[in-house]
Amino acid sequence: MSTTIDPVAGAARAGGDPTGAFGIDWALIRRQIGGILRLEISKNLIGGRALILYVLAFAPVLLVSLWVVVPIDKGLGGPASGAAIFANIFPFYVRVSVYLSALLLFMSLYRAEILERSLHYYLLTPIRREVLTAGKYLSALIAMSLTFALSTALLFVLFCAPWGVGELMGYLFRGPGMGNLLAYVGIVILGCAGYGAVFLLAGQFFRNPLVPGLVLWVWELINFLLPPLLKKISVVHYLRSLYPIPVVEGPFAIIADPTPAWLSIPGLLVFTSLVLIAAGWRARRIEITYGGE
Amino acid sequence: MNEHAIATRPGVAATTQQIARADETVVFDNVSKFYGEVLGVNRINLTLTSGIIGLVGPNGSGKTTLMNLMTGLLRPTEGTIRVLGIGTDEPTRLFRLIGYCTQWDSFPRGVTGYELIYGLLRVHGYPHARSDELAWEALERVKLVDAAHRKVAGYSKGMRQRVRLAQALAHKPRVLVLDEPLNGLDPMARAEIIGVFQGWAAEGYHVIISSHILHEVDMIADQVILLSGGYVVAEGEIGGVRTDIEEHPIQVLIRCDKAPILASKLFEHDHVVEVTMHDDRDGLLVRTKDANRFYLALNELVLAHDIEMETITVADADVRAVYQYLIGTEGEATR
Amino acid sequence: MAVYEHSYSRYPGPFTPAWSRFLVLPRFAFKDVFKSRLLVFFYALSVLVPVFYGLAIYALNNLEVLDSLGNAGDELGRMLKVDETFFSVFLLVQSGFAFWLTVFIGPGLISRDLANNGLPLYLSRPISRAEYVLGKLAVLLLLLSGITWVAGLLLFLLQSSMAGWEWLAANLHVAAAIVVTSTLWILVLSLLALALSAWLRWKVVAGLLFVMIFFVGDLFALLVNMLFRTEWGHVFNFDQLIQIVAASMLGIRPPDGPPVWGCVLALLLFLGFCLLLLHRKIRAYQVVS
Ligand SMILES: Nc1ncnc2c1ncn2[C@@H]1O[C@H](COP(=O)(O)OP(=O)(O)OP(=O)(O)O)[C@@H](O)[C@H]1O
Ligand SMILES: [Mg+2]
Repeated sequence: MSTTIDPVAGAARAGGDPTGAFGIDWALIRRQIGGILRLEISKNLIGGRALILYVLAFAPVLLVSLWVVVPIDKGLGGPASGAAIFANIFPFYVRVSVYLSALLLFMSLYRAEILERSLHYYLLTPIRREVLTAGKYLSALIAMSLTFALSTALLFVLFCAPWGVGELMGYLFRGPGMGNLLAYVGIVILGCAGYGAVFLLAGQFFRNPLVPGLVLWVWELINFLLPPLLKKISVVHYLRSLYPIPVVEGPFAIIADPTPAWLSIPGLLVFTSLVLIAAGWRARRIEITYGGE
Repeated sequence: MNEHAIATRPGVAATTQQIARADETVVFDNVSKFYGEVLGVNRINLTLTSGIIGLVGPNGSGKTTLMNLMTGLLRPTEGTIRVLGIGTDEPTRLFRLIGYCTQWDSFPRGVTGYELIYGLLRVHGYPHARSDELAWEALERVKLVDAAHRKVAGYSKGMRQRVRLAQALAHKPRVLVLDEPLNGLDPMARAEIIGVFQGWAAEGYHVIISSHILHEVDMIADQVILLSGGYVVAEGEIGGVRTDIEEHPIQVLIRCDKAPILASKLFEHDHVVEVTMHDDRDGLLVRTKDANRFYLALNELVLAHDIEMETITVADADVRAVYQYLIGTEGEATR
Repeated sequence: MAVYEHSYSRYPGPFTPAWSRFLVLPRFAFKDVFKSRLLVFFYALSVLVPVFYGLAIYALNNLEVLDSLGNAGDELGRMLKVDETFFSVFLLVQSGFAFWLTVFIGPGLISRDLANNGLPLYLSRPISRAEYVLGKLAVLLLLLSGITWVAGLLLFLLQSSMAGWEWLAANLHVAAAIVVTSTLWILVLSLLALALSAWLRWKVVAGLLFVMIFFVGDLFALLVNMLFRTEWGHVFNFDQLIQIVAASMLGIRPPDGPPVWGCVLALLLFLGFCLLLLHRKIRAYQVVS
């Protein structure tokens, strides 16, 4: 049988790593995903696409740094009041910066390569399309999580900073500060994961990201009006219940029974996985025609 | 290590001898591909054995489509393809055996030649040291070592062609699919690359090459497949294809002055089967059994009777026309 | 000898004047643009709206028409007057149309040439880089002018012809406001669209970014204003800047924001930045390091 001519899988076996569960060579898949990350992460962190990502992530950071430096009255509330301002801006930050970055990055994963006519290089390697999809998703997720975790942490610290280093340290390490900061970083990463999966899938169905981008944005915007079952098919729903500092909501905001964290985190992860599985399945149908794009 | 024994070619050659025939061929079984309404290829039934196989046809005849189908970049609208017994929807097995140099002159953004080859080998699953070794070996083969660390976007056309060849060769596949691989290569590189193909073919590999230039393929291919309009119009050993075609009558359309004289003189030759005058008496349609002798005779007649020619075209829309088109540019050299 | 060699000769006829050659670009672009039925519909809509304004002007100037509407007509006549506010609303609506038209048309203008390696083809003809940009710009400027200041001036003239010379003399500043603000706005739109189109190979991303710059700009402006307790944040909010300029020229109450000179300066700086982007990118070749 021709399986004898399978140098890489053979090497894996020779290395004492037998084919694992479900007859799948997990060691090979791990190496292949590693190979994709090598190529893709830098693509997401360097170049034009990355520039937009950085502007969206760090323009607010620059602005707030300026705010810290400029001598205007910031009230006497101390770091806690700064954190409260942050908490109220955070939903917009997620809805605009995180959302748009995810739209751009994850929709480009396949689309941009079709446009640049370079997708076939991947499709000519002995990799399952599902693994390719997972690898690409991971690469964008890592790039985006790094960027936004940093941006969120900086924003939080900067908002708490104007009252002096001592106050800041006290709030962060002897108060609730660090816990809140980590919670926000976690929320942002979860947001990247959720939106990313959705846009990866959307990128396989739509040529123009404006359309699904706008539709989903409206969907998430009116999420609080939806019946409970539909609510669960959205990213915002899970994120909202995780905010550590309560947000001053508009007059229409009705937060009916917020989902507890132990439910909403797995909920989001399950939601993301389902969407990803759909995307991987869909990737098997990709054909290279490179026409009419 | 197992990997080495198999990945180096002598090792594989040894293994191949024990493999059954069915796993030795590329089989197209009634394959059709439509791009929406547009026909790509239609009802292809082919069995490709090892050696160099030339896929020849004019622009838009379906060469690239056939190759994309064979490598799973396209899925057939109908029919099945098996490459050495493996379906084209099994990438994990297929692409250990197959290497494809596509016609698209495009690359991922910002990579150098080495990075492209090395990076893709990592995606294959090779560990670092092995990928590095294979990448340099491939670059060596296409004589691109000096430019390996320059950005591909800054390469010349021939260099880009070579880096794509290297990408196809790097993992030492048993089936090489090459879409117009000699495009843009200088004569030295051409000869060298052809030498590489021939070496591989001699060792029992499949090398499938597409080209518009029959002459070029003629020199290296063991077998040619003529494609036209999405159909396979002739197939077999090059000599066979030629005699096959030459035995069929060919229709030639001639526009000239003194058409009646030409007609009467042409009729004296035994290879001319039929001559029809046009109504305006400025042209004629000739059917002949032997194109070569016909053209010789035509030359003599034109000189002898001082005939002013306007056009000479092959009037068939089938095999012979394709063949005439293909040898048209290099007609002398193919004899 | 080949047939074509017998018949080949240099073109002996006259040439079009050199200055008009860039117009070849819009000619072909228009053909492309109006292939899309959606765009034709949308453009028709943006032309229809000024027609309704025209009808309103006619009605408001003709008491009989108002009378025929009875009581409602009286109300309408009192509420609606053809004055500065009337034209400011007109400008606001038409700038909205201009914005969405640009979203549809602008991003594809240069990016398609770039994606298909078309730039060397253009620049190897007797056409300079500036003329190329001018040609692409003309596509947008011509289309957008029609629905903004041209339509505005026509309405202005209609009103003048009905209300008489005194009205015209007293309202010249309105005409000036129509021309100046419309021009500023369509320049901002089309230069930004072209710059994005030149820098992003992918048309749809250029479109997305175009929309993003306006919407995210608004939010960023709010954030700046909130943090720094200022109105200068609005320099990131282009439609607001234009509205301030328009309001001050019309002599009506402007929305919050920096003073007029600040608005104009911000807009001009932005236009310059777009031109710089175009200058950097429109090249017949690229050097790869
Ligand atoms: N992406 C596509 N969309 C629609 N039609 C296509 C597409 N790709 C190829 N075709 C059509 O399929 C037919 C075969 O094309 P193909 O590219 O296989 O020809 P080819 O023999 O490779 O030509 P060439 O010698 O120019 O490379 C042509 O009629 C072509 O127009
Ligand atoms: Mg081809």
